[in-house]
Amino acid sequence: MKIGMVAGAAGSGKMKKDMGMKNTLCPASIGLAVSLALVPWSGALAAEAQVVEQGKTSQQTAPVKPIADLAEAQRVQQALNDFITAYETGNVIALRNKLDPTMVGYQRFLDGVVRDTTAYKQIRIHLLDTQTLAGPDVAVIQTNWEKRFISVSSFQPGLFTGHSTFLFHRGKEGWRIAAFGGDNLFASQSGVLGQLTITPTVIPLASIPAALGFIDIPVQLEVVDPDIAGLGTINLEVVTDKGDRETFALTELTPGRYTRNTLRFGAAVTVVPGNGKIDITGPTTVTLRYLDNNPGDNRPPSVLTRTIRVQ
Amino acid sequence: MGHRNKTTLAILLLGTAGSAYAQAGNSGNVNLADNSEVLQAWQSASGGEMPELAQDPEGGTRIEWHGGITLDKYETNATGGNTLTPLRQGNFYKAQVQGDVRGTNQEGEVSYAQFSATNTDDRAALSHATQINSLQFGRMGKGYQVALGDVAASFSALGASLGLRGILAQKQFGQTTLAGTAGVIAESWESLVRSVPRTKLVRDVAAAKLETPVSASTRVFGTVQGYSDEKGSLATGISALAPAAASSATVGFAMQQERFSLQGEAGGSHWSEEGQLGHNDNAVVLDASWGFDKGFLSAGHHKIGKYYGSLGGGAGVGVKETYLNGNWNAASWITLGADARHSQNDMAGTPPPVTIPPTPPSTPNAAKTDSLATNASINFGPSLPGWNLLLNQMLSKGWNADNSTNRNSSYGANLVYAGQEWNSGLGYTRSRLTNNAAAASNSQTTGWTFNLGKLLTDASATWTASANFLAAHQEQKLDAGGSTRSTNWNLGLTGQRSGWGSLTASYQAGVTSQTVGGPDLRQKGYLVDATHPFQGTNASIKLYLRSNHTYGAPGLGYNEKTAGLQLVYQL
Repeated sequence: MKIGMVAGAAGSGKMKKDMGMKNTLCPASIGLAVSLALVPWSGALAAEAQVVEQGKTSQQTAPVKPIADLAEAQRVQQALNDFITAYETGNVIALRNKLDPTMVGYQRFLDGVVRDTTAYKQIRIHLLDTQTLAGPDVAVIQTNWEKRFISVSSFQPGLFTGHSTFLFHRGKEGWRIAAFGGDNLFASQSGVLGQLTITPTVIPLASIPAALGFIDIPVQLEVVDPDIAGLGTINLEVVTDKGDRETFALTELTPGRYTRNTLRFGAAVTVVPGNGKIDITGPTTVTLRYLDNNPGDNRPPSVLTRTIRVQ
Repeated sequence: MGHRNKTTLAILLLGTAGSAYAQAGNSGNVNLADNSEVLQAWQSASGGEMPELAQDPEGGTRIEWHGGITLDKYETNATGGNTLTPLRQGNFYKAQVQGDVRGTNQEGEVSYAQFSATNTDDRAALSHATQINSLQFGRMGKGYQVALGDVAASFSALGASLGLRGILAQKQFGQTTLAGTAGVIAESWESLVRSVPRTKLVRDVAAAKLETPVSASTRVFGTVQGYSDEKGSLATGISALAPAAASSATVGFAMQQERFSLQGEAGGSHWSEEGQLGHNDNAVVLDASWGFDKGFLSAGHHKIGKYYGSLGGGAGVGVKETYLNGNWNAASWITLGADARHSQNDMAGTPPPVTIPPTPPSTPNAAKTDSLATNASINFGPSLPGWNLLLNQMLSKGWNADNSTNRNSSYGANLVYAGQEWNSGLGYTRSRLTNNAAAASNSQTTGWTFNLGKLLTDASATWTASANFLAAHQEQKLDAGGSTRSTNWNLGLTGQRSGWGSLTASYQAGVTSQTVGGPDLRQKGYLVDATHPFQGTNASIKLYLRSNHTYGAPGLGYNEKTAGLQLVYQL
């Protein structure tokens, strides 16, 4: 009975992302796009079945591996790190070469990358809570991310966060990103779920005196949505359970971050939609709605809602 | 039966497991020891139960172990605030453990378990103390495969293509294959069992695929799948999105005839959101490629409805696109490539009403785009070996939902030399972006890059050393006024000597002017990695230092320094 031992070395490809050392250079690499056929999971079984068909000799030969080994997960992570580095340095040619031209939404993705890398400087991506699952020919990385940058137009720092799932397929050239799930880290216009926050969520009824026509009550409204960076202003729809419907504008503070500091309320006997103030006739539930045209994760345009209770 | 009454145990080391499987049987540099010794060593090292060697009735079972433990202890000094730096200040540790055990019996059936987990007190790496990175069990044999835990299913582009936590099974009936998967999509195992707070709804998913060949060159398949968000899986107020559900069915084919391939799929779906009316929608993809002696040509059409709901990760909704892509080795000295496509983006918002003054679109994203990308690779023949000139051009001409323009273009040239010892490159790029819906960043950018590298190695390949220098300069001029210039350089050194280990060191610096005026933003940093393997063991130690300091411009400065020690032990 003998045991075979083979020397090897472990890698630590994720260390760069963990420790935050980034390359700020922009090496221009130019190459040729090639086509890569998607390999379904079933392909692995078919290949392995052939090996199994050969019977007991399969142990003596180097089989098509049915199960990815742990080192494969590191290779997949390295493929993602390479993609991130190309994005951080604005190397669109390198990104293009790492994509399959048959990818659905290929041009929308590339245009989104160009837009992001033109509007932001010093982009730094930080991954956390990263989980990697590597199969024989399909791999999935699920991670939370933080994207820090400086706006070119205002030179103010900005921060986006999100949760992404990357689907990789293995081809002749190694692991290649086949699809992006969740919030798109690389191309905002390919879809990132907006974040709508409101503070406070309860307003005392007594703070809206009947003697005044209206009052601007301090309410912090914020919409963070990288897909709509650069618009300048957006509209937030406000509806109440008493039938009022108003629209309030939010102003872009930093790219993709829209804020407003007050909401206009007025005590009223009857509700008049569209008069520029939220009419309060008694305890009221105020719902703020933001239509996210592209929330990512292959979800159609969706309405994000938050509520304020006036009581 | 050569393996009757004989058990062989192979321990393959992390990082080379794939190739080691074959090497173990062929290499002359294989150290052999009794199974019992190795099992005791495992128990001693891991402190856990010894792996049990099972023998099948026919006599032979092969068990393979892979595993590794990585321990990091490091100190981070980080200033600048959360908007500028992701790092946290303090002394931290991080422990990562991973293991892979698999047994193969005489019939070739493989049973396996894989596990990987991280524990750390550094909240910049993990938002909670412990995370299971992957957990999977499975068994496969002649014509079947079953996997449990973290599984990845890739049935089809419009059907199911995702990672989930659950079960994945596949069975072959002659030439026909039936596959199915079911489980949940959750942020992590920890959030699934609620040991950490959830921030997203848990989604129940299920999918199945039936595939069979109809000729020697063509196979057809059908898929059904669906998902449903668990309504009570998230605390009130966490998500601003309503739970959703979808079901879909697709049919498709794939044909391969010599150097021509054609594959297509069409599907229909129903998607609904809690409290809202549901939507029916459809999708179709068709891709063809043809390889010829001097290149290849591919073309395709994709149309995914805005409300198409599936588990296909690659089915980007709201897209309609047609493309033609090719590569042609036109002569011995030149290769040409091109990609032309027309795209529609239904997620760019609905066209705004006609008003005076005009109502702006609700997104700054192009609704329609025509694009063309071309490239050329030119070599200079045997008289100038190693030299290449690479040219590229990209043009994307788009229109927003209100018909305003949204365009970007770029041109680049790169002269490169790649020799055995020296390599170098000089590149130039020029790009322009204009978008009437988000005009603040409309600008023109020019950039230069230069790199020079040298590789040294001794005749016996006992040691290698390399040095690389990179420099880049970029200037971006905004249409609205103002410009920013960036100049960066980086010097990197690497060295490796057999038995001693490896050393990587680099230093970088840069300066960026502000578009709005004011002092320049300056940056400098270094990186050192020194790794030393302990001879005769499966362990190594690494010392690492990182520094990244940005300063000069008020409100944009941060300072990150990390010094750490890493121990790696391979089981």
